Amino acid sequence: MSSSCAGFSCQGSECRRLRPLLGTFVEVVATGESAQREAAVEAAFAAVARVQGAMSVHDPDSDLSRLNRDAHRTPQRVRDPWTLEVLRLALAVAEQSGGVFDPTVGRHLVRFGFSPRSVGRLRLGPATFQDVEIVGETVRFHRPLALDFGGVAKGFAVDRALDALREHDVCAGLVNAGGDLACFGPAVGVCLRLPAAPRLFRHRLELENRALATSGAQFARRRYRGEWVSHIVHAERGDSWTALESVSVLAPRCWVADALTKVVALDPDRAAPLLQSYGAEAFRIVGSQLRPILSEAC
Amino acid sequence: MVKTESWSAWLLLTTLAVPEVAWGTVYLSVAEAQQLLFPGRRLTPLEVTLTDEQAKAIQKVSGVRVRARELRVWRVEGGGFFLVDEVLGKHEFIPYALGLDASGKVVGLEILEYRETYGDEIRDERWRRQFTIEPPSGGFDLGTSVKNISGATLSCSHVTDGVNRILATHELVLRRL
Repeated sequence: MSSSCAGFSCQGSECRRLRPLLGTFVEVVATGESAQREAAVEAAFAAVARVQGAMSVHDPDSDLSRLNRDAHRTPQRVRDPWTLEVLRLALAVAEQSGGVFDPTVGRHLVRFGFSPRSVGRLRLGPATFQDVEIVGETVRFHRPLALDFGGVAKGFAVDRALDALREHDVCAGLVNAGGDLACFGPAVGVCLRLPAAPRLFRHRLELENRALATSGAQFARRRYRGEWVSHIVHAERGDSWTALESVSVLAPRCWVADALTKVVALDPDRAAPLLQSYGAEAFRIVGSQLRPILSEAC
Repeated sequence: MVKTESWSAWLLLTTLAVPEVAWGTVYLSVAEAQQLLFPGRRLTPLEVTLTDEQAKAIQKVSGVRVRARELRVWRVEGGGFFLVDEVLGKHEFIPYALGLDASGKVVGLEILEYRETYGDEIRDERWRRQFTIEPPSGGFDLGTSVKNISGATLSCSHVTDGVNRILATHELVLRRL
């Protein structure tokens, strides 16, 4: 370990790179000595690419697509253990949020036109996270359904990429996947888009060894039967969150921040105890005002 | 609360000071990207301008419009091509570099710069009136300090469209050179 990493000083210069991944832009930042920095950045991008390969709903060969095609017929093994890990995390949050967060929300995303069908011509009737069963290393669906990890995969990828940076002995690192980000090392300044005017910035916060995720539909809304819909959908009700505001969650891990933004956006009352149990906080930006969302502890 | 005088004063300041308010990050120069994608290899610039026929064929195969006829392309010693292309959206400018091996497979993609602008919106009177946005207090200098952004997620689909267009360009034009 480099002795210059004691306290909050961090020697070496910054390497900052941007690549298109996970349907958005992923930025990796590493500060340290030159040889480790480049290798660290490559390893971080490789981790993100691995999440994309295993869990993209747009890739017909991903674990996710294969599960959606066949797991209602026979139990399926996944190729990448990370897929099982994300599924476990998603199902846990689904349970804890009473189904407000639910990875089987995919059937609405297919209906709205955000995702392609993986399940052929079979009708995707009502299903919930309780129709997904993990048996040992296999996954089984009790009925045809469409899993979607859009609510947690970016955050998970950020966590894995950050782990890769840490393994390469850089003294400061940051990974930002489309606004879901996490960092280690000295505090960094994070700029927040104004949801009503997403090309403008008004608020800046300091982030230190923490993760932040923001949900906002401003660039991703589409029209479905005359109405605006977004990819933040209440699995049971089938309606989506399209308010011109944003919800942000700060948490120890990015997958948590990512998943909880959906619960906060769709059902803030349900979110309060969850925020507390995960050691997370939330705030929303409405107009130009940043408003903290009080957790039960307050 | 709207403080109209200070709001217009701030706007005046930004619109007078810079014609279009913009921010961005430079990640790599073309030379640095060449070194990263093809370390130690010699690159020779090619002069390639697509004909109408070629542009049409590329559009047909890739489903993506060809906007620039002049390619920025280098032949890589030992096989392969290095290209510089860009996404030019209403509010974003994203030049990127793509490396192809001898068979036309992508061996690397690096974004060279990312820039966002919003000058038009600031100038539009009706647009401004929608928001009761207070002028920023305390030196948040947009030009230099916007980074590590969180907020609505931008799609990279324009870049992936560009890559598909370049792959078709390689298939139909470059590999025959």
